[in-house]
Amino acid sequence: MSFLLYIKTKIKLSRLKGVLLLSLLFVAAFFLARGYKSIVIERETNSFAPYLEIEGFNPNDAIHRELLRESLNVFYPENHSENQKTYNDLEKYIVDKYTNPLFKEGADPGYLTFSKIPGIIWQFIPFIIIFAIVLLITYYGSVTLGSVKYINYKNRDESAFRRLLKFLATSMKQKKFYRKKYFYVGLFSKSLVLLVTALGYLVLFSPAYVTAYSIRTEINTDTYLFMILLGIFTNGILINYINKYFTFLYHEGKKGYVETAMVKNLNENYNDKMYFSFKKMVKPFKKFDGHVFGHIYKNAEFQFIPGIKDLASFLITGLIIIEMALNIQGHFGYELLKQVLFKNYDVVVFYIFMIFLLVKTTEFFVDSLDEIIKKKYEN
Amino acid sequence: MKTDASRYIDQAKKMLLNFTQKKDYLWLGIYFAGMAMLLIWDMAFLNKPAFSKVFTAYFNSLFAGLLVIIMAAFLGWGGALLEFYTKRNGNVFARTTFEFLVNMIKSIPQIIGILVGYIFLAILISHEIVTGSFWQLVWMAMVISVFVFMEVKELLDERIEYFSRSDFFNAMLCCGIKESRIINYEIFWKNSKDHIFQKLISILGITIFLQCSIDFIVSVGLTSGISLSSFPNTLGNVLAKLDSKQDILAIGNLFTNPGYFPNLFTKHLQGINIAILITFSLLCLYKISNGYLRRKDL
Repeated sequence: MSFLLYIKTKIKLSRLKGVLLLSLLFVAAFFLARGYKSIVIERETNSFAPYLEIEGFNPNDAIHRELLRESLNVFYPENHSENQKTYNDLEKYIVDKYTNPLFKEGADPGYLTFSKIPGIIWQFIPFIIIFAIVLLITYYGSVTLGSVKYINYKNRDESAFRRLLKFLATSMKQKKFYRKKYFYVGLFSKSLVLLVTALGYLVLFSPAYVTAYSIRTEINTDTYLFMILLGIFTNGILINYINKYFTFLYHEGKKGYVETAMVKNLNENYNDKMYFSFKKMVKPFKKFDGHVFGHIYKNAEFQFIPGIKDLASFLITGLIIIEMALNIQGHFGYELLKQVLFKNYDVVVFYIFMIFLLVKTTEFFVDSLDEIIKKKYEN
Repeated sequence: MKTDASRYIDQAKKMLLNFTQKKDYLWLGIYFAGMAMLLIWDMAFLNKPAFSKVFTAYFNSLFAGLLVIIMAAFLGWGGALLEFYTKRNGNVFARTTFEFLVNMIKSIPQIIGILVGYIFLAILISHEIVTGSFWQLVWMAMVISVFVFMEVKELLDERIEYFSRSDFFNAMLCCGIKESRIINYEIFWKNSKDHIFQKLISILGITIFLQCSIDFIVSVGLTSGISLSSFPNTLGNVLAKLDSKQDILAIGNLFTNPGYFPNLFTKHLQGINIAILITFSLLCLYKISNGYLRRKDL
């Protein structure tokens, strides 16, 4: 209830002013785009329009078109290039008439009409749902895996590569190590861990379309589930935010209050399974009461929350890239790309306006959440 | 007594240890070693036309990326100064206009902004205002830099704010040092160089990702529309070409036929090469930036 109350009071004039001003800019861009399209169409048909009215002239007949060109060159020999352009425009018009879907009887005129808006909104709803799911899971993953990384760092855990090197170094010190079975078992298991880690890194850093295309022959990549998985695990977003959270923990762990807490005998053992069991780490709302990490975790999370705004923007970028690059028909991102292809820039402006609203709504919720947490600690 | 040889070995070991402990240097070394290996492999197995295509694409992407970080650094610097002075001088109109522009750029996800920029670029190319690969790359870099420079600006804003909160700023003002010198020299140059450098490394990573993605998208989706296929070769649009895409699709064969693995590196080299170049560059840039962050304790 307090959250809803807060949302109501939080809608300040200054915030609304910014959104309204930008919305006005979108309206201006919309009309500009529509005007541009009319000018382009007019310019393309203007050059030959008067000749279409000549009695007996059939523009569909190639001989008639050729005759027109020759006549223009006879009557206006000084405008040779312009005559050629008129002929080219007419040729293009005739080809478009038979091949371009926009020229079909009763075809979509290309402009944004009221009847088109519900269709676009229906494309947008699944996009919002996917975005929300990916955002929540990425946030959870960043916090959980960032914490695991910090705990491993505190326990001085070594990388898979160093473990393999160390194993080789210690094994080689023994005589005839290559005859012993444990050497090959150890080598295999440690190499396997290294390989899986390397593959994991490659997937996390690879752009979504590379991952998707590499498995497209075996798995249907056009499903919502797959889009969610790509959104979370590719494009380098998750790994960057794990690192971001780890950096907050790292800096927080160096602060004076942590040392004071340790002096006062608060638990500082990062090997303690009572606090860092698998079950405790995977909980969405983690608590580490009685351990110094509990305070570090809370303070880092508090600083991490405003960063969700940037995360949201990156995720929208990532999801749009996935939909556009994989040509997933009927999806918001692909349909936006299609409008760009057909040069329906007024429709493009409307699509971008929807994304703008999503960004602003997310920003509003994150700011509200941040403000609520701030108030909680202030009191 | 140690012999000369053993002393040299000890010294080399020390240097190697020092090198591996500095993770940014280590990953820079890994990156160059990886690139060298790839180059040798390509020279042996990749056909000449494909080799020159991949080579040009890599250097075009790298060139555009470097242009972006230069432009982003200047735009970020200008933006931070503009924000500081418009706030300080109390010029409401200038401040509101600037805030509006910043708000507008931040409200649009990068990929959308860049896509709009590419549409404009395509119009300019079709009217023959922008011609030649070099200028097209410069324009592409300009478009991307407009949507990534905020990271630099925000970092510089933070640095000004951090020093303004301490006595540092006011004490220098009392000593008669000019405000512009305090900001540009004392704060940015003397006390934020490492921060800026680290940010620029991470921006290079973001740029490569965004550039590859947008080039891939426009090449896949818009080839029949705006003729963006006339754009210079970059990693993204070479990956979008049919032969490269087929190479990437071939990876899927491994699920049913793992024995096909060696063929990927001989028969499907063009697409695999591009995928490796993109992913490996992104991984190494992340590691270098992270290593630099830790080494300098930023």
